[in-house]
This record gives sequence, C-alpha cells and structure tokens, in this order.
Amino acid sequence: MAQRIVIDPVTRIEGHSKVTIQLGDDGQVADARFHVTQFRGFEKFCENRPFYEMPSLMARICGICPVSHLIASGKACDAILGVNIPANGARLRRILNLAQILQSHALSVFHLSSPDLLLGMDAPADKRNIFGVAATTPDVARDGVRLRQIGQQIIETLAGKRIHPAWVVPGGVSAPLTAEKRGLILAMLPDGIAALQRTLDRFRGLFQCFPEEIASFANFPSLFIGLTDGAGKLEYYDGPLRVVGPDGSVVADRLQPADYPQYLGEVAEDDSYLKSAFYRPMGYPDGMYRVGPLARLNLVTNCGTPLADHELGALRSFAGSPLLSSFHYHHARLIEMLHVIERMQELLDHPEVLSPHVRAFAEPNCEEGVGISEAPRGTLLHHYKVDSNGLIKWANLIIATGNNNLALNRGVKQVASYFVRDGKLSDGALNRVEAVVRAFDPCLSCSTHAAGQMPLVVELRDAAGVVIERRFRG
Amino acid sequence: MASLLGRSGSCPTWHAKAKTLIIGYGNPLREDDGIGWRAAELLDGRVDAEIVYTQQLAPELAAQLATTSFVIFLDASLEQEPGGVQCQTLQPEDPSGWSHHLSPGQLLELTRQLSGASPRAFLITGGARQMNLGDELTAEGERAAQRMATAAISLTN
Repeated sequence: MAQRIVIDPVTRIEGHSKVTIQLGDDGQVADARFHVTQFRGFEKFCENRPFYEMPSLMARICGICPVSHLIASGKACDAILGVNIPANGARLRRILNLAQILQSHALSVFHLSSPDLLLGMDAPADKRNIFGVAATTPDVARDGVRLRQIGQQIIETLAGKRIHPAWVVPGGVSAPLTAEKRGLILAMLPDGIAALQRTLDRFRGLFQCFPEEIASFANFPSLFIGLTDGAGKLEYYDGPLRVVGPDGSVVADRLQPADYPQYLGEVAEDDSYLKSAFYRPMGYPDGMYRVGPLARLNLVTNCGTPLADHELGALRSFAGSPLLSSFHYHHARLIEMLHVIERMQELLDHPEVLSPHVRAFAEPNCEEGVGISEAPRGTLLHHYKVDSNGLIKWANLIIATGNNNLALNRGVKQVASYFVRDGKLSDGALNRVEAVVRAFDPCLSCSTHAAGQMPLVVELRDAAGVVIERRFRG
Repeated sequence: MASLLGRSGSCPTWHAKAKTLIIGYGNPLREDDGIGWRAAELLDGRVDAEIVYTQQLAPELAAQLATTSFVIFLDASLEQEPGGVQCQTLQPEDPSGWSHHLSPGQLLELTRQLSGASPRAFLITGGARQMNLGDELTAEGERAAQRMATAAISLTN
C-alpha cells in the first residue's frame, strides 16, 4: 500500500516548515512537498502607513536579514520620492548590504550547515550542531563565530545597531560615515579574509567528499536570476536583472526591476504559505528558477575581486559552469563571503566615502516605487503604491526564498527519491531531506514575512493520504 | 548606549582576558521582557564594565566572552514574583537542544569549547508582570530593573 512520510519541523533553517513525502503503491517516492506553515501578512498591515515608515516596518519581517529589507524598501521609497540618491549614500548602503551578506552567510555555513559537512550527514542528530563542530574542529567554529561577529559589528558600526537599524531612509542614509568608524571597519577586514582563507582551505576538498549529495541535492537544469553590474561581475545593490539558462546562455538581460510583473509571476499553492515565483515567459511551473549565491555565480563572468575570483576558478574547475547542483550553494556562499570583504575594502578606500552628501530630500513625486537588491538568499523585491498623501495603499514583496520555492520543492523530491528506501525514513535520509532545504538557506520568516525559529516536521503518507510515520525536529 | 562593540570599539581576540562584561538581553518591545535592557542602562557609567544589549544570546557572543574574566547576564523572568530579583552563579551547561539562540550556560559552554575557559558568571533575573506589545516596563518591571542594577553593582564590587 502506498504511504506518506512527514518531516515536521525541518530544523536548522530560519522559520517553520514541514516536508511531506508521498509514497506510491510500490513503496517508492511518488512526490514530496515542502510546506511553509507560518504566516504574518506584512503586505496587508502596512496599508495606510506613511511610505517613509516602510524601511523600518519592513525590517521587522526578519531578525536575520533586516538589512536586506531596509535596502530594498529604501530603494522602493527612493522611487516614490523620484530622486537619484547621492552617490555616497548608495555607497554606504552597499557596504551595509555586503556586511549583511557576510553575517548571514556565516550563520548559514558555519552554524547551520557545517555540522553536516564536518561531522557527516549520518552523524548523531544531537551532535550535528555548532557545539559538535566546536568540540571536533574548534578552529572552524572560532572562524565561523568571528566572521558572523565581524558582519554584525560592521552593521552596528554603520547603522547604530545590529538588528533593525533605522539608518537606511528614503533618499539615502541618515548620517555619513566618520573617519573613526571607517577605521574600525577596515581594521576588522583582514581578520575576516584570513578566517575565510583558512575555511576554504579546509572545505575546498571536503565538498568533494559528498558525491551522492552533489548528485541528488537539487541537481537539475533550471534558470538562474539575479542582478548584474552590466560588465559580468557580481552585483548586490543595483542594476538590471539577468536570466541565465542551464547551459549558461543568457536567456534575457537588462530586465528593469520596475517591469517585473511582465517577466515574474507568483502562484499560491494550497499546502503552503510560501508563494512560488516563476519566470513568466516560460510559464508555471516550467519557469522554475534559482536565485542566491549559486545563481549569482552562474550569472557572472567573474566576481570582480582577486581572491574570490581565484576561488571561483577552483570551484568551476571541479564542478563545471554553470553550477547545477544546489549542494554547491555552500561553496558559493564562502566565495561570496570572501568577495564581499574584498568589495567592502574597495568601497571604504573610495576617496568620497566620508562625503557628508548621503541623502536626498523630496516630497513624494511618484505614486509607485519598486526596489530590488540582492539579499543573502537571493533577489529581493519590494513594490509599493501610495496615495496623494504618501500613504501606502498596496504592497507586494517577492522574497528570495519564494523565488527558490519551485526548485526547493523539486530538490526535496529528488533527495527523497534518492535516499528514502523501502518506504523507510532512516535518520540519514531524514537529515539529507533537511540538508537540501538548508542548502538553499531559506528564510521562512522573510518569505512568509513571519517570525520564529525553524523547526521541521516530516510526514510519510500512504497512497490514501494516511500518515504512517511522523518525525519531529525542534 | 553602549553597543556590541563595547566602548573601545575594538575587535576582540580569543584569549585576552581583562574586562567585566554585562549583557542585558530580551525584547524591549515586549514590555517587561525589556527588564534586562533597562537594568543594563541603569549600570551604564556606574560600573567599570563593557555593556552589551541584545535580543537573544547568539553564538557570536562567545567571541566576547572569551575576552572576559567576569560576566553578568541580566534577563527577565515570568517564573518569579513580579518585581522580585534572583541571582545565581552559572556554569557551562549541556548544549543539547540548541537551535538558534543559547541559554547563558550554553553560551558559557561554547566559550569554553572555543577558548579553553569560560568566565566567572552570574545570572540576575527580574520578575516580570507581563510581556505584551509595548516599549515601557510595568511598575513591577521597573522596580525589578532597579534592584537588578543594585545587585550587579554589588557583584562588580
């Protein structure tokens, strides 16, 4: 008789979710679904608030990546003002965004995923956490803690506090950078570079020890979408979007953020609060695409900074290009961390970085604004409409995790098909189902605009829908 | 208000130990859950210590604890009499069940694992009346914060 497995909740991710694995009459995996089980509804309760409150309000969506929402929201508000913000305001926002990527990637790689990589996918569940890493490889744990701390400290130095800073405002930022703060940030960067080089020296070979996971962790053709700088280098703050196919060819380029309804669609499924985005010209679900570190590296010719480019070359020589397995998200994150530190150094060395001209002032001049940036997990879009008084009448947010939702679901099915044997969910199979979710580093607080930790439930169900096994991780 | 960086703004290294650290934690947008923050504010400038304000205890705080010889955690509690104060010594504790944030004892254990030692530690908790939405303490919460600050001053002396 066909059966169904439920993993509820999925652990070591940001938010609440559940995985259902449906078995066929032959006991093999027939389908698998990733359900997001939390909801808050920021798009509705911001209605009738003044638009200039939006950056601070939207930052409350998430305690992990509030800066990403500040940036995208600030850009949407810039568009409502109808201003081009001062170059140094944009420069300082860029540094803030890069620091956010550093701290968030450190959390994903070291705190959440390194236990699987260092201790093994089949290690006891109670050892697969940062304490297990600290006990076995304290040098790695120290570097992970330090890298996240550096990212958090840079955010705090720039914006006043680590979580929910209010420094990004419509028109730019609220205060310029001082020479003292610039010096503090610059002093942290060499430590970060050294930690990442040690980490990459250890992980470069380690990643190659997971051939089954590379083969089965969402390893399939898809589109990849993200911002570009127009010259083939990594870009996180501004610019048009590029769409690349599974063979690396450019499917569409120089797509303007404000035109997103023409090329991006969203579908709500019955079994999840997380909407699925798709590339509209290819329809749903064929327009499945991936965003985030893996996609960004697939979009570019090179990173644009020397140390990161060296590492990207090593990854491509091992895994090819474009990178199709979502297992490589981990390696891509480490390369991006190296890049963002190099890039912060460049921006802080810019002769105008201490310029006091960081904010443009205006009344609302437009009734609509779209802001796009690259969050740690991928492309993030905020779209607002206001009335003549500048009150929000409508808002839409497309979040990185929603962009990845179709691929994430297909990845869960691929892993389940590979590792669930004879209708049984072993501990190793359970962890691998969770691990493919972790590879995408979903932020469900963001993607449903909801709060909370990320426990996971996996349910195994028979063909009639009856739960025959339920596994909980909290 | 002091910050995660501390007054010096310096980057900690893993083995230098000199400072006293005071960590006020909780959610100041949840009424008396902000008791720890308020008590830390009351100590700012009154004790020779680095003061940290944070929503929850996260692993990166281990880097700061590794540079500290003495730490006081300040937190709110719904499990004790509103307005009352309790003080206890802390030891590193079993990290099982960790997900996204740590207890003070788990943070001490992580610090011990990463740096080879953990600082002498106390936890001072103040009894909360309620933790609804709001950025002001109840009268009991304010009274608890004042008492916590007094207790912390005694400990640092």
